[in-house]
Amino acid sequence: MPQHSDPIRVIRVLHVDDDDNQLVITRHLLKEIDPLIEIEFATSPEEAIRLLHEQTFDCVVTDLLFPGMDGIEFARAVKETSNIPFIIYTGKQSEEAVEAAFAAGVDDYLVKELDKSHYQKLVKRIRATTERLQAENALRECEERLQRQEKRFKELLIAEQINTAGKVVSFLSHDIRGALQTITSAIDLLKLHPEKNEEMHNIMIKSVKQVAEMLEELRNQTRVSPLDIADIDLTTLIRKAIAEFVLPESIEVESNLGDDLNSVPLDLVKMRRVLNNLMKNAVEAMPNGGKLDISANRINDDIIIVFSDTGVGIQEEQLPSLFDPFYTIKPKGLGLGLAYCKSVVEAHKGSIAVESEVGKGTSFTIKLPMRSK
Amino acid sequence: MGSTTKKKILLVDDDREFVNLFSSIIESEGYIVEVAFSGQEALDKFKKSAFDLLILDIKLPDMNGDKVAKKVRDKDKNIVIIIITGFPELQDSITALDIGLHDILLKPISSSEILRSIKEAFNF
Repeated sequence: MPQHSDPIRVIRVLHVDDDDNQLVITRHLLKEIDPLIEIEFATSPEEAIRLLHEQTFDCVVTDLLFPGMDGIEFARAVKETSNIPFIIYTGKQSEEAVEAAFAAGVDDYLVKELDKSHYQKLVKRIRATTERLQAENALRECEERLQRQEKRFKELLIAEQINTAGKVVSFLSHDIRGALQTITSAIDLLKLHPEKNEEMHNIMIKSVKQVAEMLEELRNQTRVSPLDIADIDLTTLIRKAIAEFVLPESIEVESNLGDDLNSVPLDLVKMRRVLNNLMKNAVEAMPNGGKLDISANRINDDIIIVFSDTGVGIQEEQLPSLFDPFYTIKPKGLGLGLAYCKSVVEAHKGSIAVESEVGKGTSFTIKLPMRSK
Repeated sequence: MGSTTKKKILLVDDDREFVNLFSSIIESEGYIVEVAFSGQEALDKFKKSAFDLLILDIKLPDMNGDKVAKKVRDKDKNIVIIIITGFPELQDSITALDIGLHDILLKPISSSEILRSIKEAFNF
């Protein structure tokens, strides 16, 4: 763990001065003023550079004038590879020297004075520069972490989109290949048995229509748009859905619609598609005929809509996946219908549930809140 | 071909319409075709009688076709197995099954393709 954000941590200062007396005074007084400051000495920039390679420091305090490399050259050399706080601490003050020091990248410039209170100032300057650096480091780290996470998130999002698109293409192409297979075989059979003209014609037309329906289903049920809520007369909506559905003769539909359903807040177009999907499923579940009961009632602040068929039923182990996208138990179908129902109902802050018994039938229950906001 | 006994073929696919059409096509060449619409149904038929050739869809409602193929192969070393599939991306993994498949055909399959494949199988 990085420790530079810890406020009570020791501050390790490298003090560089060729005057031994100065070093002794600094060590003594600084420690007295701030026990968390720990001083290491070097008597030349060359020695200091060596120490900086060997150990970790939080701050460099250096004199300006040395027999060899001077303080400004020293600062430039250190700042080239590190952003360690660098304070010039010298008896010499000239405008040129200060300018040159800042140009070399030093963080602060302080002129030595002899009274003891002056060292308070030095300690303050050391603290200020090191704390500023710590804050900058912490900020940079946060930014870097944020950037890394944003990048990762984008990668995941793109991977997920590609994955979903791949699934769509895979399932759709499988089903289209299935329809093409039926058409191909019908054409082949037509050649073998020309007298089956009528039958093969119907099979081919049906297959072509299936493909068109699949494409339509894909288009409708993958289109995510915000809800367009209005107060809708649910009784009329359900009656219309039943009336417009082309039912096989062997299937009877009975509706049982309660009162006060004339003003239910919902998205008309999407909910109509949900009702249509459920009717289609129910009809397909009753290949040998049967009965579909549709009821809608207001119970307290909820609208409960139930679709109950007397169809083949769904095996128990298939129920948990039933609302998953691309899950289907039909021989032909993309498996998007119920996933669409679920997403629409949940967008209304409602819920959808299924109960089924093999051989007896299946019922879907939709619960919609009267207040969708 | 010279074979006096008619070859028996089991066709397994969950698409009933396709199964009806495809079996008529294969029967037109003089083969005896039985059909199954699920993996379990296929295994049950296989238990009751012997077949010379199995035509199997890889995606069945109850179990994957590769599982059916393996079970059949375990019991019958000689049966010819042809896999049919609508998933081109599955071809590689099917090939890797290593259970002695005669052919893998990608839907849509024409009558000449399936009949040629069957003929080749019995000419070995």
